[in-house]
Amino acid sequence: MNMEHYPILAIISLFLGAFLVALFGRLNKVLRNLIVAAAVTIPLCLMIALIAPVMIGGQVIGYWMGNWAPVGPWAIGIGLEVDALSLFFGLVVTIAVFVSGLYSFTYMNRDDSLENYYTLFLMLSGSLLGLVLTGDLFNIFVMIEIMTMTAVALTAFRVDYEGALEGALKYMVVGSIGSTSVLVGIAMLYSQLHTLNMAQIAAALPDHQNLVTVGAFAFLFLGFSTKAFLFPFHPLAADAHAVAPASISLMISGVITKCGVYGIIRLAYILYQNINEPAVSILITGFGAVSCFICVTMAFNQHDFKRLLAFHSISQVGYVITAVGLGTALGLSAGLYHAMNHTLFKGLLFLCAGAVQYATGSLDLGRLGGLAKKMPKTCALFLIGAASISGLPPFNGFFSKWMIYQASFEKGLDTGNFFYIVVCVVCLLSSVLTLASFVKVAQSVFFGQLQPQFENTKEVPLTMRIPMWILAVLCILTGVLPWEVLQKLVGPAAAAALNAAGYIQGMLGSGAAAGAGAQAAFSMEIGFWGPVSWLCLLLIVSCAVCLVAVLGTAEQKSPEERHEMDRRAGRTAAFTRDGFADAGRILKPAEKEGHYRNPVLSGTTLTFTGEKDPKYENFFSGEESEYSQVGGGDLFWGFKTNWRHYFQGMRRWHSGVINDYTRYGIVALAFVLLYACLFL
Amino acid sequence: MILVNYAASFFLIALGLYCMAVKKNLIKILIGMGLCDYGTNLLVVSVGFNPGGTAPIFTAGEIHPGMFFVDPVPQALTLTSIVIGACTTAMVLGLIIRIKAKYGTLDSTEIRRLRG
Amino acid sequence: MNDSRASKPVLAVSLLLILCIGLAAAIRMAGSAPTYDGRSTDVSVLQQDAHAYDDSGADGVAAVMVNENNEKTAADNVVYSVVFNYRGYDTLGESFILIGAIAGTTAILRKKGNKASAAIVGTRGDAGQEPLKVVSYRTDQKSRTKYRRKPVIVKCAADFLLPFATVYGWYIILHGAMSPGGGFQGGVLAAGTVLLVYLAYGLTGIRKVFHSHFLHYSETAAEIVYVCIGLAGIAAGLHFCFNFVFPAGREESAMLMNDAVGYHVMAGISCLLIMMLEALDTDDGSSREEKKS
Repeated sequence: MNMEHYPILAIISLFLGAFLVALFGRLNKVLRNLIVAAAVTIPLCLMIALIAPVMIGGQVIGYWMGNWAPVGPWAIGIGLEVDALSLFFGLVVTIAVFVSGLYSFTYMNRDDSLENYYTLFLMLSGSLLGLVLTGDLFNIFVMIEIMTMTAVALTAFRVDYEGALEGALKYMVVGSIGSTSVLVGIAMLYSQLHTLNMAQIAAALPDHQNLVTVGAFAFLFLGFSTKAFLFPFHPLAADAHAVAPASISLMISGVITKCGVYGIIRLAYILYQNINEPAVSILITGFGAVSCFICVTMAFNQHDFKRLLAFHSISQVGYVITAVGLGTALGLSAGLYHAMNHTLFKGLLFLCAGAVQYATGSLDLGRLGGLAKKMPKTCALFLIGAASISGLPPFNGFFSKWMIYQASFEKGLDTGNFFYIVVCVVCLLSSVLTLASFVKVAQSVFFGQLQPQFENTKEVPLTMRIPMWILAVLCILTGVLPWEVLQKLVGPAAAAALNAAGYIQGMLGSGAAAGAGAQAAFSMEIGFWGPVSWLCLLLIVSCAVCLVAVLGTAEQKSPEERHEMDRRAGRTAAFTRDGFADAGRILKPAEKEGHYRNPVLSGTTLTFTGEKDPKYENFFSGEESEYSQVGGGDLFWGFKTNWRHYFQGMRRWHSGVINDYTRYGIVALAFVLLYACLFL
Repeated sequence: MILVNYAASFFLIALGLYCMAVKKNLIKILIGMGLCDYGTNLLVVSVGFNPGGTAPIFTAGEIHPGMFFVDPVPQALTLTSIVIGACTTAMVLGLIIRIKAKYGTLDSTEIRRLRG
Repeated sequence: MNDSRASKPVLAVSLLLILCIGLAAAIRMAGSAPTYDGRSTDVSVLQQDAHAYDDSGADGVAAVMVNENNEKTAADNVVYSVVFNYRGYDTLGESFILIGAIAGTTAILRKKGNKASAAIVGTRGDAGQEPLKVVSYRTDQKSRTKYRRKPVIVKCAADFLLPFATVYGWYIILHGAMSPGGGFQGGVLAAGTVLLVYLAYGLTGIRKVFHSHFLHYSETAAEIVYVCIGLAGIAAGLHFCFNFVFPAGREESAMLMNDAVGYHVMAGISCLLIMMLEALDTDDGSSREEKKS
């Protein structure tokens, strides 16, 4: 079959699979799983088959639905346009879908109404693939709507899970601001240009810059950043991730956010081609850097495993957007590379969280602990993911983060704008905080003391570990072979994004691109380091880190010993995990929530001053009455105490009320509109 | 006079956003979402208006010399957008029914178990 | 709840900003000369001889679509052509949304719930937390007895109107190519019969008349038919969603798509309505009346 049919066949196989599951899924479980397996495998194969011609051959596939080829300069039908950028995101989507589908077979087997789950899952996948492959602006809106609808339904799929309905409702209501913005932007563009084809818009826009198109830019930018859960919308992501099934968390964090990133890249690089204007660059980079920093600090306060991962997810998307906003070839490559890496390692971490949930039934960081003995394989996978996200060398996060620092610093030097230097420092700081945060997670889930209730925990079945291993191997491969990835995948995608004229020609034929900017020269001058020597050095460093970690766990003491140590060190027993368990023996059970009050240790008895100390409020999120371990799960108590005013402000800010989140969205919309009108 | 349509559509969108940001009742928040939808639909369909144009249908015997059509594309887009809005509403209503059963309230300030 | 004092003025200023910039854009949009004003397309000439009409001087997508419509499609209604022909792929996506809404609402409203899995999966922070207050969907007994339907007039009216509503809905669906209408509009009208039945006979009536599983399955089947019509284009060596104009010249494959979408929307909206009504479960009096009589 002709290659130009591959994109549409990939999209349709997912949707057709969804309908077949809806029709026959109830009859037979094996048949249903077969349909799902086929539906997630075919698009992956088709996308991989397209790598050779599109990525390496540099071909742009233009495909007109129903053979409605353009008449004169006017594109009358809907076109699919697959250039290297689309294919790059298409690959990310299909890999994530494939892994998530495989993982669901075992992970979801305790739920009912599974035919609805798979229908929604496949429709979500199809809409995501359709979004990145399409060349029509209104079609993007339709796909965004399918995506939002199915993602919301899947978030609420475990209706009895605490907070599932609430998270879904927030996602839907606040997300509708984004959908409305996108449609308003499309309508405003249509009123000026009278076309919906992106290539044609890109060709015509440079001649039609006025208030309306600038307003459309602001609306579209805000709409896409809602879908990427950027800064004022990040509470939605946290709520939705935390309550969705883990396989869906992978999709939301790994792919839905990437579709927002894809939209922003298309908007700024291809449609408006205004990324080189300082105002646009600062706007996008600023949003990215702020999300990056705020979310990584928010993650410190979390005690739900998946909610913590959700905040980290948005923090990483912040990195991507920061890099994309720089507008240089290096910055864009860094952003794309990190986007791909983020899908891989964050998917792996979410699947690990799902495995922990499957095995123990809990995601509470305060209650979990010591699972490394019971689930060693999951623990190893988690460590790979954690090392990747923290940017430790040989893993993939290191290279992309390095590129981001370098790109932002270079941009700062080139333009002489101090803003980019600040951004670079913020990125570095966030990376440090990410590492710190994952040390805490590893310590409170997999190491430390095993709670008696989890004594019977078993390792998850192999069918769940295989998808995780796929992601882990990809994490390592993209980390060990960065040059291959840069040359074969990321480089062509970045070049395609910088080549607006090529995009227009691919769809409308040569001659249509006369008005577009000249093709930006793309160079691969990335990094000054010899990769091999750096790798060796960093391997040694990481070995040292591992050694320290191993020694640290070996020195573990029994609770009694530790309590004694704490006492000698003058620490209050209530502040450490195991110490708290001891304190339970000293205290009356009624006083178990001692951390609300002010414990004072005198001799061998603990007394409470009975006053609620605001110093400890940081440690609790969610229900106030919820039992939370302050001590062992919280390595960074001092840091948090010093920053408590910031954390308290943040807690008040993430109030959990829909109206507040909507209000932030409206303020952001007004800000972006005003900014665009003033500076563009 | 098409200016009135445009202005009204932006006014409806702002009103819908106000509803979503201020009203505490979930049903009223849903109504706010609906208002945003209607405002957007009005904007889209107004974009295709041509003064003096007629409905884009080649009805036999109704077409006279010198006639021209309004833009048919935004009408089709509006149709799509209306269906999407209806589906969104249905979905949110489903969620609200379950939330009412689970939390026993429709007050948005009490539905905040996920926060911080 | 974020009670900071600044929040209200900030909100007001933001809304005003959105409104002002929107109004400025509106003035600009209304004032700028439109790229397409359609005046150059004399549709009466076009209607008489579509093939001879020169569309090289077209001034917008719409002009081209209008010109092409008479030449390459069998439909008279250009909006219909845009929906099912030029932008048939969007319409496909649109009907996917309906299926997504139905599957999602079914999943959210499923009665059996997830009790077993919730016990295994566990809930967040079960220590020291108040149990959730569970309130029944059902209205309490008191208000039930107080409110009693007087169904005779409604029943008669519904019996009278039901056939008309169905026929009217299907008329709108089937004549979409010729006159205003099409699959979506007609489908919603036809689905209105569910509400008529509900008004007259209550939930028991709906349960007796409609088979919601069958509706759901057949609606999915209609969607598969739509996709298959689209795939026929690829099978014939052309592109997806290709519009075959049948030899007689008055029929085309887009019309089959229209019919599929019509059935799909009718069944889908009915399904949604039935699900909502079942979830609310406010069967008041009418069933009791039936038992008495």
